[in-house]
Amino acid sequence: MSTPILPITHLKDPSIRTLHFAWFAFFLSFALWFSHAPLLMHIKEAFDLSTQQIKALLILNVAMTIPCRIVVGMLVDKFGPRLIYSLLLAVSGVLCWCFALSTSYEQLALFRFLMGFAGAGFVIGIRLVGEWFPARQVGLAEGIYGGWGNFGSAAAAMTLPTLALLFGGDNGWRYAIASTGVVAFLYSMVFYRHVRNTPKGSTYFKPKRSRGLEVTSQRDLYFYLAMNVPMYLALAVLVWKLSPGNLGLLSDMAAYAFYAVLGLLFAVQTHQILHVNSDHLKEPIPALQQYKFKQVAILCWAYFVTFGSELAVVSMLPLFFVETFSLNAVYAGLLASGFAFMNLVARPGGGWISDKFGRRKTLSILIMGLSVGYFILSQITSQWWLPAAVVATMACSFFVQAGEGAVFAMVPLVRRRMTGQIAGMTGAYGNVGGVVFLTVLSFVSNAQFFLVIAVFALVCLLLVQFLDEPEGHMAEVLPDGTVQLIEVR
Amino acid sequence: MNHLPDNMGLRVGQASIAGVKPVNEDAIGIRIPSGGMAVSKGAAAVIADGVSAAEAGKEASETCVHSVLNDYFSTPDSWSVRKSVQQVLAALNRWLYAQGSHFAQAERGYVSTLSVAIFKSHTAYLFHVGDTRIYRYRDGVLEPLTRDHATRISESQTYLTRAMGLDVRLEIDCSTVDLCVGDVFFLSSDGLHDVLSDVEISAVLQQGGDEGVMCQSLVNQALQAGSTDNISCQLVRIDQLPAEHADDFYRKLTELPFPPPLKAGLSVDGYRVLREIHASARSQLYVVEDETDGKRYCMKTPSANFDDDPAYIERFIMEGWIGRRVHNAHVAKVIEPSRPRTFLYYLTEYVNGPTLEQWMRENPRASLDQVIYITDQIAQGLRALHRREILHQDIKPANIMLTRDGEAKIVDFGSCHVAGAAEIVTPFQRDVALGTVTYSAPEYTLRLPGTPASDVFSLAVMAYQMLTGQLPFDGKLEQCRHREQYLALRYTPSYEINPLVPVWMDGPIRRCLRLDPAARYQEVSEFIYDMTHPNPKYHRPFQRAHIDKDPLMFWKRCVVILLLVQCALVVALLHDT
Repeated sequence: MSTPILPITHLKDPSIRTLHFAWFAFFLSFALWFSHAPLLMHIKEAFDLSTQQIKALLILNVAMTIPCRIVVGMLVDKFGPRLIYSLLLAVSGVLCWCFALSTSYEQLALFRFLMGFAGAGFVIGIRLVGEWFPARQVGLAEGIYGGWGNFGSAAAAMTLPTLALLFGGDNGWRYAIASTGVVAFLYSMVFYRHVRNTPKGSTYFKPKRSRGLEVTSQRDLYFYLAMNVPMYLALAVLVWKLSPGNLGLLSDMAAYAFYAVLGLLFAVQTHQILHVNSDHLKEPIPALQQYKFKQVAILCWAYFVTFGSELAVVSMLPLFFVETFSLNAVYAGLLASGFAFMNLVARPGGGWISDKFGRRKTLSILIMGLSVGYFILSQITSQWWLPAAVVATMACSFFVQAGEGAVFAMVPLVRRRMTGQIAGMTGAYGNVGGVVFLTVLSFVSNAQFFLVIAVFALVCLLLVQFLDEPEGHMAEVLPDGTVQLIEVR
Repeated sequence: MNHLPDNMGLRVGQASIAGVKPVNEDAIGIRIPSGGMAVSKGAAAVIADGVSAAEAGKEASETCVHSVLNDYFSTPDSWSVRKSVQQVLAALNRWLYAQGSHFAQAERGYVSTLSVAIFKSHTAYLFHVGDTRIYRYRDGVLEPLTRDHATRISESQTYLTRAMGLDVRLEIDCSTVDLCVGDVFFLSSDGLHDVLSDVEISAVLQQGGDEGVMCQSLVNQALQAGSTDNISCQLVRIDQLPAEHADDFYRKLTELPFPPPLKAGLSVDGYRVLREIHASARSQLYVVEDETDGKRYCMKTPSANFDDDPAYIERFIMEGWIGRRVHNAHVAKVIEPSRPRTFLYYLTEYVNGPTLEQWMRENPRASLDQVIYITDQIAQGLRALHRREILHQDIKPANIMLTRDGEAKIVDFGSCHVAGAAEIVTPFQRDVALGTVTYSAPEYTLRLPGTPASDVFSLAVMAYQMLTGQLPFDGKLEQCRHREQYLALRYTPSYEINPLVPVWMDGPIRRCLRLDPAARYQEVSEFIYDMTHPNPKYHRPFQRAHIDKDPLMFWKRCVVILLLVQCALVVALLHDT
């Protein structure tokens, strides 16, 4: 089979141009989303916040993203990626200014919570790139989109502390954060001007329904319903964390209201899942359409530990370096950016390795690697030699991001027709992971936090062993170039 | 249509006797084809009763049955059942009428009643003239599905008001009914249903058993009941409907696997890939060379994005199917591979030239001759498709290839609507409206059914674009989603942008671009005729003198003005004196 090559420098090719516009949009949304992380030190000082309050901010940041992804997915179906990505960037840009102009902890918390909206950009670009690239390139294109976009958090970590210093004064951090908002706002217009939903002369942008995944057996239906519970639990834990008993950011009334909303959402979603599935499960499902939901679930948990831990670590790492090694913000941000830096190659690379060396084996090795990586991170103390600590984070992050790439390389192979919905659910689990790990962080020390992730990863490693290798026909190329069919079991 | 299962299960029987008459002027026939024809055409049962008063009743009825059973199955398989049968019956009627025209009284010629039942996919199509009947027996109830075209003039005599061969003009009753497993269709001539009541027929059908035996016993029963005419009947029992089991369906659809991504140098079934022309999220297109004779073709392969999407696979298979059925110099030919295929793909002739899209870019202000020449050729290709009851539905510059000699060819049948195939039920939902929004007729966006006039719309958009270098309605067509938005569109005449375009030529284009499909040309040929022959209707109104435009009104106004002047004169004169 031909190795996929993307001529990413051919800017005249409209699909390549779209890819560049898309990943940069994702890059900016990520930079916005994590613009606060490298500047937490300043924020902590300016508002005289406790560590608990800081940690709550971190969780709030990723919480909104879980429901937002669903909403954004539906909006993209209706209005197309071009408009929705532009709007997302513009709105997030404005929210970013609001955050930068906050005068109290409550405002900070509120706008951080709303900024979770920015994190929902991922789905939009996936749809856009999917429309623009033929099947043999789409995997790599989406790897580049995801990887280079995720790098946005590293870019924020590297530049914002310096920028804050350049602006200077007590409010330097405010200007720095606001500047990302300005860039995103301006770029939203550029994006709207230059990006089209589909290649010119192509078919309509066909809406794909995203109300609920279609499963193909009664058992899988229960399995699917059960898999939705952790998402709501994660959000419920968050509400509890903010309730009067704990941080006290919410009044008793508000907390109960949130619980009620969560319960209602859960009921609505359960109803929808049953509605989507009840009809077609009555009749026997043709063999061609059958798949095992187990595959989806395992991929979800794999993404939970990979992307989930990345979200958590990217949020806390700059502060971790500051506290552990008593560094200044600029330096710490720069070092911490090493974690997200690996995205540039690790994520597309992970997909490539998985294509080449078998799905389960690749994923097993990568998750094992990240488990070991987090275990090593948990051992870092102030006695460590700083470069060794940086190398450790980068090594660990390689496994994390290659793992993300490997998960997404497998997603289309579960059920091609439902790729969008499966990707959506997997992505959501990544966010749940972020919320869970950050909530854990709010209870334990940094070292214990890393250790918890390592343990989660070990459990996940066990789950991955139940993954079935995708099967089907495979074509083989003979030395004279003849393509022949071989049956793979 | 070999990709669709043909497993319709029918059990049939028939019987026909002369009865007390010396000759049997009834004719009956059933044909159940196998394979692809069973899918595209279905099965047919025909009963005809030659009119006894006529000289050649027997010949007439036999001709009817023969010709329906042969000619119906020879119509293009892209045609719908209705169109096929109507064409066959119209020709048959004209022939019968001509044969009998030397008789002074029409009803003394070649006259016959005729009832036809076609069973295709999940529907029965009934066609009927005269007093033979079609019944359906379902759940113990016998229900007549046809209405006799006869007037009773006395106790013993009826007069046929409609029949084959009676008149040049023929009105056929057409109806459709859904099929259910267990349905029995019963066709009979008047020799049977005039003497046996519905209850008596039901009683026999109720008993069941072999269809042939049942028919025989009904015929005998009618004879004993005192029938004075020829007695005939047919039974068709539906045992199984095709594509009921989705598994069968999918197995047939996925018999051939998708080819892997190809690149130059690779070879599939003896076709070596030379280069990739185009790859999109939906399909790939390569130039290939036959390794045995060095001939070049285009190979289209399905995109792996859809390898579990039955609607996509069916459509892809249909693309090749359409291309093999339409033979026209302006429609790209699909080549039947000489070797069996091991992957799913199809080959078309290799057109070494630009697409119309590229050509337009290179010739922003094409001459009128060129535009008309190209438009005319596309129209010819479209007509060939329309004659086969196929709508292209995605006419756009990128789907028109120009050869070195400047010949235009329509390519890509990926969005076609084939009337005959649309009648076949599938266990999945077929995609609709796959066209390109910039060139699509409004009815597609508004989710209304397409007609040949919809292809004419797209053709006119291209003609406008070739003439002016711009899209009509200032390119706002693609933003329209609702009726109101379409109504708000403003048309800029092409001659305002390109002064070389004659005013009369803009008329037909404008008419093709009307929102209401009924207001457009219904046939491509009408459009082309008006594009090449100045139609006085489309002369610019304000260029003509008032007297030319409406002479009557001119003189009326003159008279009124004169009258007023005279009145004024009279008043002035009176005033003076």
